[in-house]
Amino acid sequence: MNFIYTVSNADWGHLLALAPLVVTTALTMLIDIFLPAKARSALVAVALAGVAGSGAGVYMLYQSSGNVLAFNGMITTDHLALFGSVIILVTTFLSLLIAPGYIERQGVAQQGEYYTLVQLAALGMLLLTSAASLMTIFLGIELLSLPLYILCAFSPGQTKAYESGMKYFMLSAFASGFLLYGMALTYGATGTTQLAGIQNFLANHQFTLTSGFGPYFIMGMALLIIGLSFKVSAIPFHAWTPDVYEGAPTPITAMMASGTKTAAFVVFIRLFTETFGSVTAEWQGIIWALAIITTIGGNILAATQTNVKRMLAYSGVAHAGYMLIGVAVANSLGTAGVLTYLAVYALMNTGAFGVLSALEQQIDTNVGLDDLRGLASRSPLLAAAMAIFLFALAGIPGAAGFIGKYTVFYAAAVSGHIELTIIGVLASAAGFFYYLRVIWMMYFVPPAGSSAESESLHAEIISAGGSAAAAKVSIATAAAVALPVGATIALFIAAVGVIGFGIAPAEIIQLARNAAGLP
Amino acid sequence: MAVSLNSYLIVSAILFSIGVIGVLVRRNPLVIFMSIELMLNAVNLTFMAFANALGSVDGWVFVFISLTVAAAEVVVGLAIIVAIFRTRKEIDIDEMNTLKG
Repeated sequence: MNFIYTVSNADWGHLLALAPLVVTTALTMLIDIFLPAKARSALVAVALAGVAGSGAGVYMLYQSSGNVLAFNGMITTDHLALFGSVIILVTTFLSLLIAPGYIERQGVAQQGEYYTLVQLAALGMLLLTSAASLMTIFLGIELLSLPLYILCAFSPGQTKAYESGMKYFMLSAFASGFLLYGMALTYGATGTTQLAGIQNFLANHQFTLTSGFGPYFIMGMALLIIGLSFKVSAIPFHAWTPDVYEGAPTPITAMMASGTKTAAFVVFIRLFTETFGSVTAEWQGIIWALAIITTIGGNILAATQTNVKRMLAYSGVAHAGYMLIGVAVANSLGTAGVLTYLAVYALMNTGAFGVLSALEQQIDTNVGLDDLRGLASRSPLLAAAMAIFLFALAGIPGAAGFIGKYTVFYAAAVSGHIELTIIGVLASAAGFFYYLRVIWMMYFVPPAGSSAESESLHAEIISAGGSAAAAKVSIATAAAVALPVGATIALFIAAVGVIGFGIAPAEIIQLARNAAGLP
Repeated sequence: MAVSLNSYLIVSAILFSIGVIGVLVRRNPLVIFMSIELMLNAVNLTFMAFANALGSVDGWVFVFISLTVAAAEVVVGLAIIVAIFRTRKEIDIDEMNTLKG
């Protein structure tokens, strides 16, 4: 039994995307010690610089050509990895811009820890997108999860936040067990942990369900699907999503919702569409079923919510369903669809959570549907931004969300899975209901306490049981929403991106096709 | 007498199942936590058995990685449990029902 592990100098160049964030993570911790407590909000600049540096690294890797595998096949910097990395970096950047105002209001004293952990989570996501071995996949998933457990529980003294962190931790560690067992069985069946090696082995060996390595492999694949479905919050492994999203600080929810999803879907694509590409028949049915359940179930559950944060969490479940359709068609066209979808989803979803975080600075609780009444007359710009993001999430043509849905449903239709296209289109049409309901509340229902009509609405709320809390909230909502500079910039970037990609989608679709290996 | 690969795999599958049942049945976070550790260690046994049978080192290396990660997970998990215990004085997970809808 011999073990050869060689590292060439060229390998280190493949870490260009990760290295800047590693440096700034260490710097954040170091500077935190020397800064007085009041100046610690400046640490966000260090974190932003790290994200920008990593972005530059991704660009340099994109320009370079040659071997994409490094460190004995542990890490890859192919276009799929780089595309995923860009989405994650943009999400992290926006989440960091939203953060300072939010955590100041939440009274978080440990800002240094907050920014350190955000950068570590981003590092985990980046590592996950560039993982080319089962080992790096496991390491990446844990590196992104561990900081997020802490960040979910970050608002000091808040029972809800602790509960959110606890639930995420328990269920995620449970799912990690399944994922690891799946990796062990896959390794046992194929004799290697490197994805290229596994792909090679599967292409050259026949197997059945009952003979040879077949049973191990099938079991392993099933367990891998369970573990990854948990991370992308596909039904029936979604139960943690609304609770964790609701209790976590909103900038973290924004980062978790798109960043983790992007990283997990890149792994889904790498593992199933690419590595298990020669045995598509064995897994396609399961993903197909998951896609249908998640698409339909996510939309139904989202429609029943009155808390906007929970509604967005369930809408995230539904969007995971649309993306799973792209995985279920199991070809490069589907991959390109999923990648386009992830890119636009990151912008519109982070934007929507960004608006929520701005509203939460004013209302002391989570934002309910009633709190949005008449937002358009109080804060026209904020309401307009929210409307743009919700139209995009709903998939109305002209906003970016439509492009994502179009590419995924198109891939399903031309690959002979017209049933997935039909279900997807019907489900997103049903999804209009709960997105438009929020827009209706913002634009066409007068703010609480301004007219006789709303007085009666108000009375209804009180009689519905929310008495004291509802009265307090409606008074608080009467004023305009104060928007910090960082959040304004973040929302502006997201809104411009959503409209820009909605009107001129050719570029992003082409980049996604390149990442998927299509011309 | 050499122990066959299948014996190892059956033992680790049983251990893993005990861990899964423990997570689903028990209500104390610390016990759930121990059950998760049992699951991870069952997987480590699987890795070792396969590494031995295949004559490849990958499985051994993987065990080191998963042990390290499990240790880090323990740190974070216990910290969150302690934080909850400070605010609530009880840690039954059935009582964790503030978040719902």
